[in-house]
Amino acid sequence: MRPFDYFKPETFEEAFRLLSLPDKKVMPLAGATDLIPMVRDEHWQPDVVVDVKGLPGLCDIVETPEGLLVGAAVRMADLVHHPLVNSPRWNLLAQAAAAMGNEQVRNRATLGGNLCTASPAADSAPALLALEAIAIIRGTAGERRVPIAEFFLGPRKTALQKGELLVGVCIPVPSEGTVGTYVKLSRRKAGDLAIVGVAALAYPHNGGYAWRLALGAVAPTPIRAPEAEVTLNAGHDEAAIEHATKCAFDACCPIDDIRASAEYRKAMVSRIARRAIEGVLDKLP
Amino acid sequence: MKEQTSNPVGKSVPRVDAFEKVTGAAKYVDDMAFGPTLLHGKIVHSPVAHALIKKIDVSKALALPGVKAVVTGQDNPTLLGLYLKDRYIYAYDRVRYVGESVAGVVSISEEIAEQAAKLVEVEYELLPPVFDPYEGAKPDAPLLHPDLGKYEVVNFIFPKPGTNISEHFKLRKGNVSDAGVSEEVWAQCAAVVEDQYTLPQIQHAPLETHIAVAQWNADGQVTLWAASQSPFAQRDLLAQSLGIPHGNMRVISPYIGGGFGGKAGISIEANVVLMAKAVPGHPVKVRMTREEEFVATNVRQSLVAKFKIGCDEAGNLLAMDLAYYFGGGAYNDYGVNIARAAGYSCTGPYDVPNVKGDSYCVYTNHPIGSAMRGFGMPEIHWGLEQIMDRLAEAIGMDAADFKRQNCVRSGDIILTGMTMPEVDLPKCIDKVKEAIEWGRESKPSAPHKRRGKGIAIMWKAPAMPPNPGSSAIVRFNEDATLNVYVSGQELGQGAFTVAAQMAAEALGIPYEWVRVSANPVDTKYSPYEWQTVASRVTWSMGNAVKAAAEHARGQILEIVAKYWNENPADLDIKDGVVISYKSEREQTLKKMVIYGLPNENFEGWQGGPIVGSGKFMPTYVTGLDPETGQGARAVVHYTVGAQAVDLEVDTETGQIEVLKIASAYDVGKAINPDLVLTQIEGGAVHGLSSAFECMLFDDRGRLRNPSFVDYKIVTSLDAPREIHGDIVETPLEDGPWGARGVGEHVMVQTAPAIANALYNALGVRFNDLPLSAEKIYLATHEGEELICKA
Repeated sequence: MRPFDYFKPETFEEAFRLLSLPDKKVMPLAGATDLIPMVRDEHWQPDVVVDVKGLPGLCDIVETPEGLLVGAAVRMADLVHHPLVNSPRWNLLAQAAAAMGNEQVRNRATLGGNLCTASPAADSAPALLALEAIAIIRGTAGERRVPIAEFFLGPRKTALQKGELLVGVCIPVPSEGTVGTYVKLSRRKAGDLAIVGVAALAYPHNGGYAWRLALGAVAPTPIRAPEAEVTLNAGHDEAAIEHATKCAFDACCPIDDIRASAEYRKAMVSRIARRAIEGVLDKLP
Repeated sequence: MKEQTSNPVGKSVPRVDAFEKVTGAAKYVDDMAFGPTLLHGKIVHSPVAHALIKKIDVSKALALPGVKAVVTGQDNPTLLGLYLKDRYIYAYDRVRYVGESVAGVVSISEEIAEQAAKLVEVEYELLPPVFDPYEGAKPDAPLLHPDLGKYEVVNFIFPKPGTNISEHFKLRKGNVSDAGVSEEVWAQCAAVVEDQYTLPQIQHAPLETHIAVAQWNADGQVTLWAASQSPFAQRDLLAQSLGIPHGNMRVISPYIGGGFGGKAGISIEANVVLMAKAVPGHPVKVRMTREEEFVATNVRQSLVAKFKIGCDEAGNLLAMDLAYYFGGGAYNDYGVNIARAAGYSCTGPYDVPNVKGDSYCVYTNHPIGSAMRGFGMPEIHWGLEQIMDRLAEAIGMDAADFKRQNCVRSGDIILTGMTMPEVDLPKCIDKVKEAIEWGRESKPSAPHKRRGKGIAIMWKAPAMPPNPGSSAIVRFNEDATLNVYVSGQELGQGAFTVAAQMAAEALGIPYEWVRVSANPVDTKYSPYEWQTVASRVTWSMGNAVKAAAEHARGQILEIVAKYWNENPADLDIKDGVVISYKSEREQTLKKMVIYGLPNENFEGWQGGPIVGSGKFMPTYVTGLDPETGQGARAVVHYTVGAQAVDLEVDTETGQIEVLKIASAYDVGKAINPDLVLTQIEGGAVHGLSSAFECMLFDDRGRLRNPSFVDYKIVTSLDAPREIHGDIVETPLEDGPWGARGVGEHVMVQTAPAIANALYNALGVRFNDLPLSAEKIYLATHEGEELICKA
């Protein structure tokens, strides 16, 4: 493996200084579950690696009036076990975190890493899309906020500009009575990447329910399925569910990869979407 | 010593290596320290599947600071191989698979070696590759080994020079000719199934990748430290190929972190020895990365199998016409014996009057196909065990009844003309039927799920030369504890534990008094053992241990008999005490096993340190006629067994949930029942992996999934909820206490048992491994409209 210099700054000033070192390829590091294999396989060749785990707030989970603030370096295992994330309101994120990797990977992998890698199959992404989380981005110019739906630009492409860091996400406080379900289809029950991942969420609204549906691993980025949501918002009888799953199917454009063919993914989208929707229905009062 | 287990054979005593392994104290090759002179090696692998080597330029690599040597096939074009010497240690004039060793770089660090490996420049002239063994066996296929006729080969392997066929085993029994089974026989068949089944290459996926350290001293002493199932076979192969006297070639092998056959025979070890030769006096260490482990060590062979099998209306098998084309990969030095084993057992565990079988090992431009758990047998049973179900269905018979009716029984004259030794396969079938509640339909857990049961049976003989030997030494200590020296490797199966049990039992001392001195196995000090393969160790090494213990016991009884002036025949050893049934005297073993016993009135002494030695080698295996495969005794014995699977399929996704696997094997005698049951558990899970995963190559022979991200072995969460094991004990005539091996058999028929259960659930047959949710889904939802708007 090509050697690189490793720094673990404790201030943002120092971090941004390192990230903008002239003539150096600099990469941030959180859990390293993606970075190390990429460097090892020579897809990435950083000269300098900046560990963000020492930066203030990056490993914290804090409840604020605007929502739950989750630091970018919070580990998946922390999300799985954290009492706040496990509370009914945000539990969808805990489910997604528990579906990711295996125990060993979750002990290292971070939420920020899962998002910044920008894999279409990232398990946390559909959950955060459904929760309408906001990415908190910081650079030398200060902080900016980007809705998570606008954060993913393509496979391994995000809205981060050069020299910027994802410092965390803010998940707005969901409405009272919100329930969510994440359903993942993969070849094995642990340590595997999603063939299809679907997050569904509903909350009481205007005497009925408002729905959100997000799909992973079936398009260049994790996506919402707005037409499916509109359908479900009008009611969730069998015909509506059937139509919503059709809308979810129509929203996707998957590819062939080593885990599954596009054909199988297409066939699975509507079925896994149905399971996510039915999972939500089971939890509704 | 707290607990004392008398007569431990047949008891589930704890493993001798349990504490060491659970606490992490056990040492493996990578844990060993070699001091400041240690150098590191890296192998340069071929990036192309089939090409002539036009030029190798190592100058840039040699110029890199820290690089001590670069070796290539030009330095020492030496052929290597166990049964067929067809492999250059480093490629000489051509490469035959992606991953082949082309050069070896030695440097002061692993990092520099890795950098230098990239600086070795090789010019290739591409040749057309062969990937499919059936196509590769055709006369007009591109030739991989033009020198096949010149290679040294053992006398029971028959390569076909001028073709890619490295072994052709012929089996002819009954009313058959080279053209096939006689039409008269087919005319008597009420049902005939003719079909093709295939299996891809799979990887052993051991936790510990291949690792070796070698040192070549100026005086010609060569030492190899390796994770190896075959320290003695490696010593022999290295000594032969490199012209090293056997006494100067030393192989040291500590615990192995998983073998499954992948560390049998020889893999990268010779490459490391040649690196060491280039830097005399320095140890050189090579650790394979996981990616290298996938392509550049050994894998299981692929198979294209063509079957035509028929039975009469009463369900009696009448004829089998079988053609097995094993994809042996680029070098078949070990693989030829896999095709041979599949040839002499080609019918599976069935009694069939008319058999025409042809088993070929075929060179392909894929990684080296070599030994893997049960070799030859999982491959042929995949198709055989499904066709038996299809025949049973065709004549309206229950599949389990059909198999029970046709299966081999003790005393049968089997396909090679050999008399079937004592085994009870019908009993194994009955056991798994009972455990799986055969014939009783179970309800699926949801409306969109289907439940199904399947059964598959198997046989397997140890696949090896006719005369592989074992030896053992036992040596007492002052306190009457005993050290047992063996060279059967402990690769997780429990070899050391059963060796200790057998020594204790044969000597009459408690199990807790025995220490196994085999970690590491060291060819300089350890007794000879051929290889830890073929499920032969409990049986063969066990016989040697028993003989060694009995040898020591005889010496002790003779000394004490003299001391008491009695007849040794009246004496016995119980719990470490010599007793006389005649005079009821007692003599503890402590001290006397080293110091002997004083004569009366201190008039001298008798006895001395007790050392027992024992050996075992089968002497009765005969050659087989190369035209018919007939002979008096093809193999030493067979182990047989049955497996039944209960599973559920999600019809909406194709996902399989294996609910239960029930296994029953006739082990002759379970020396340690818990160890047999843990083999059964491990085998069931390994069997699932073999059914669900494979190596995926692109059209240029490059592996697409050389990592555990993309090559998914079954996890503990995917394991069946219940794994049930039954032990059947029909003693083996020449087994220690009647024991025969069961290490490999436990996964041989798992895949076809699953396929049969899938058919039961869905009514769909799958001829090609691996099985996957996607494959099952697409096969059961043909013609579905799948056009998204996006």
